[in-house]
Amino acid sequence: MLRILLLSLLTVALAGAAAAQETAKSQSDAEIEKEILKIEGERDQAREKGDNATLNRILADDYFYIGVRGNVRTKANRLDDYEAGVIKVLSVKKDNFMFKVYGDTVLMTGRETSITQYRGKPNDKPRQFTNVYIKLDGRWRLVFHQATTIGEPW
Amino acid sequence: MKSRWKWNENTVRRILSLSLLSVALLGSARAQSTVRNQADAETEKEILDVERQKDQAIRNRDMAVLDRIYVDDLAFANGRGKVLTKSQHMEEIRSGNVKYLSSDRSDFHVHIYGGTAVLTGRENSTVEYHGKVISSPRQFITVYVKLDGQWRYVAHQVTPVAEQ
Repeated sequence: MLRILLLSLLTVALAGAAAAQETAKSQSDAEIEKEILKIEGERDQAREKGDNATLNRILADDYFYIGVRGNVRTKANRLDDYEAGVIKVLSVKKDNFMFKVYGDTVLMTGRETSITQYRGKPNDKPRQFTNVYIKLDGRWRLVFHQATTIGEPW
Repeated sequence: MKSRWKWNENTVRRILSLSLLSVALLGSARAQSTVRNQADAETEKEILDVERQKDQAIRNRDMAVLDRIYVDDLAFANGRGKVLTKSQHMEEIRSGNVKYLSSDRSDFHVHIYGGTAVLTGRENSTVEYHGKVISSPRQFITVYVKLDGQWRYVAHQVTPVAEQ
């Protein structure tokens, strides 16, 4: 009888622990999403201001960028573009975010209708983007960004 | 004089010990770096192998293989910026709305971050998409994450390359 009671108590305790772990995990994912959104906000502000110091802090050293023209840029290329005024962000508008958290990797997808200017040519077409954030040395860094214009035939 | 010699002897011992420790640490760091490079090379090989299996499965419409490689909450954005779920993307292949007429992919780069691998590359494959033949170049990204010991395809995006 005592054994049955002990086993029942153990089962209840284990079930409770599993449920608590699940809650903790989902809370943790929500916290991560919040943190990523904060970093994205900082990055967008830095894009608007051409604040390369902030961009340098957020972008990983091996940052890889694929723009709407399928152009591939490194971190250095990208920072140079901002520095030289080749790329200008006139206003930022992003929505439709989706996050997937895999440990120290976060995939963020969304839609962007920001108004940008590339070599003097404005772009306000909606585009779909994917961002990959990785936690490197305890900090979330943007390692990858790709954008595709929505609805254009190719 | 005796005491000075003793101090010098201790100093020499300390210098020798420190030198040996430095050499050992340097050797260990180099060994770790070599092991990491070997591990990354192995991962790259694994990713390219899964990628090959996936491409073959798309051509053969082998939905069982695709189902094993794609995660259930796949994030897939095609060359028109349209976001598809796993089932929508698989249905496009199963129904024949997407057909690969020829395969031509190059310029692969695999960026490895532990259990995450980001594959980038260029594609010139000829594809029939809802009856329209597309052969213009595209730049793509595929994100693989190791889940339960298996590399799974979690995200993909394609961007057409504009004419220069």
